Amino acid sequence: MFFTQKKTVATKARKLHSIHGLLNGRSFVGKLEPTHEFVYAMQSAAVVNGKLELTGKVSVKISSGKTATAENVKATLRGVQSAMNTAQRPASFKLTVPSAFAADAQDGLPLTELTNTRSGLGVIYLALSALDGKALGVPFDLSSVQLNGRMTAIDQTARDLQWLFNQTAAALEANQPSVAEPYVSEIDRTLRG
Amino acid sequence: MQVKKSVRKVPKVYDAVIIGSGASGGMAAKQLTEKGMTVLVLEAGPLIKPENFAMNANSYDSMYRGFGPVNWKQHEQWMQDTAGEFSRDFYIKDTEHPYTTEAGKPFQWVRARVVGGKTLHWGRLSWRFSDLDFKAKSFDGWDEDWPISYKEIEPYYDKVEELVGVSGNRDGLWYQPDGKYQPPMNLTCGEQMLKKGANKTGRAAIVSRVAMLTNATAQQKKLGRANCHFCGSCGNGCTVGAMFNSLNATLAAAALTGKMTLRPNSIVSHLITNTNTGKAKGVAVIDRLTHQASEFFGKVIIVAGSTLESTRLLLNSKARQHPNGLGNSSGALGHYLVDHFGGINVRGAFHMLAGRDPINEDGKSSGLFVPRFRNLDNKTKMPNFLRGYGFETSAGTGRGAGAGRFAGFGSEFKKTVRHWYTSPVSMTTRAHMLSRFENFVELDPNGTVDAWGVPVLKVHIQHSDNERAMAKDALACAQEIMKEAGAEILSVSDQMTVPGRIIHELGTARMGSDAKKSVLNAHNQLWDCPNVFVTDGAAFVGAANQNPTITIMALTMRACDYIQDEMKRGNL
Repeated sequence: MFFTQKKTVATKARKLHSIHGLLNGRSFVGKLEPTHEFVYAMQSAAVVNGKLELTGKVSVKISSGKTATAENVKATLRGVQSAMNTAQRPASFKLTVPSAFAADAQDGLPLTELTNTRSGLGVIYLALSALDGKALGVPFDLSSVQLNGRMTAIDQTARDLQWLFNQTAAALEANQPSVAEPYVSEIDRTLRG
Repeated sequence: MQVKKSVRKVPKVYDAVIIGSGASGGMAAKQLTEKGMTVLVLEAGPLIKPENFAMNANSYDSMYRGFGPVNWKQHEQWMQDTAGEFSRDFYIKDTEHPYTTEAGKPFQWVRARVVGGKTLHWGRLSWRFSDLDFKAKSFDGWDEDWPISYKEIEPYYDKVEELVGVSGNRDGLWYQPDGKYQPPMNLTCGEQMLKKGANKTGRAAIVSRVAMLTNATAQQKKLGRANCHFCGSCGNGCTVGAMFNSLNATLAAAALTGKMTLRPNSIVSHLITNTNTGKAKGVAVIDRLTHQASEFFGKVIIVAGSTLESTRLLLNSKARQHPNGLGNSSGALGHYLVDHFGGINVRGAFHMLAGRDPINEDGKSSGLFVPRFRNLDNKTKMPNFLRGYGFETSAGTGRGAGAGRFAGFGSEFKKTVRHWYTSPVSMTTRAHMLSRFENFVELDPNGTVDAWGVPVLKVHIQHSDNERAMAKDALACAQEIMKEAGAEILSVSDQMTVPGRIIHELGTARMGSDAKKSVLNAHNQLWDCPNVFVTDGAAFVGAANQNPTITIMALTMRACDYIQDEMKRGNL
């Protein structure tokens, strides 16, 4: 056989570059590697230095069943991945606020699916402020970890946040903080419950 | 970039290090080892042996009935459009492989980090480009011509077709050149009717040319490959080797030479260059499973990791002599990203075919192709768009029998499905997207990384009004053909696909005649670093409207001949 594949297993602690989490209500829920359940519960939102900054609480459940937490964890938006599905405007959100997306062309030519006003948001990539892995009871270096927040929109709150984050990301990317402002306020209101 | 500090240096210097094991990497491995060179093939993903492919799996064999675990796709592989329950291991997990886009401007990036790459599940359509494509600027003035002509690449197309095994007809169309084909697969009754409909409207319609064996050669049999038996399950991996993939053909041939070392689970983070000369001397690798860092060295580096992964690698390979990424002195690296677009579809039914007895060939996965018919010459010149499109069509349903179209259960349901299953017909557009500088990729400017800490791409791409005008024309023409064929039109789709969805992403490290405007010369060689070659879809100057894989393989084969010649001359 010409293949030289050999099975290797990680044997010691290492730096974690990214964590994957699914949006569930107001929280991203995932795992630090296969073993440790992880929750980032968002509590507030603001625009800081032109970037969306979330504040929340990290909880890590370790194998003994205990949960360790870190409060006041900042999560700064690094980037987004536009989705292969459409986000829906929350029914409670006022129509008078200008959209961050330009209106679709009305020239009779076909449009590209799932683009601009018909777009959704697939993932938000957030840089978390430094976490102390040891204090959280996990054998990982979490000093500069990235949270990959998947917007699966599995409940109404998550659906609302998906649309609001999409508008916010578009406005901030276009350097239009005033356009983003009402969306960020609504995110903040939603997160504060 | 963060990597482990404990670097294990491997002193061996290979004649060539090949990054990627798909259509291009596999071909490079075969060509160079057969020339006597030692090669190391680095594949970022695992090895899945063909005996573990799920070709014979039926949905009813699975507790998930072919849909996979609940929400699996949305939670793990949301961008892997063509991944199914039985083929999902061929694809990356999006959870580990981020990339970013602009909000509201999606790009669907389907990736296969696995030994064999996307050849394990590719569509197999194998159309040559012609000078209508290679010299497109000379026809309409847009962008740049390729630095090669059809005549220069024609002998390589011949060799590639004979090697991989392409079934098809010789149809005598100058703009869709003929090649070296095995016998074509028969058209279904519905496809014959659609062909007549296309011909009535003045358009050619030809049997699809697919990389599937219908008359295996002695060499192909020697590698264990057999003729297609029309099971229609190609996307789950072909265990009999009828469908070309790297594993059963090019890598297998390279292995026979004893000159190839294949290393799966080896993620190349960047190329290492000599700080004095600026030439490449090797690659830095992170083990996918252990995250252990290591380095490997070669006289020549062949970058064949798939279009955007290759460009990402070059952008991540900054050095003193290459401050903007390796091969980017022109500023063209990352730019001119294209994909074909589809989404302009017409579906219908030939009612007269309902109730026909099934035949084995109903399971074939090839169909009928309507080649480009716009902007071929002055007579077909369109006033409102450049370039053109073709239609991929099929009639009949093959495996699965289109049961999802009907409601019901039990014996009556089965009767209904059997009655109608030979009647469906569909046409979908495969269209040219103009190469434009403003469609590009860059390293994410805000520092987004993947699970191994390697900086990821941000993709900027959207269709122009040229594509939109073409789409409108395609929609009208498809309906015209369908009506002329006598089908009842049941539905039309009038939105163009998101870029990337067709999985023909091309460009971003283009070839050219001018080092100031391109990344590669006419031999896929970096202008800025002569011992590095980019041989996959990144090298394309334009997309044409035909499937690109056979051209990727021909370019790779040609580049390998050049490498051998240059090595003999002492230039590498």
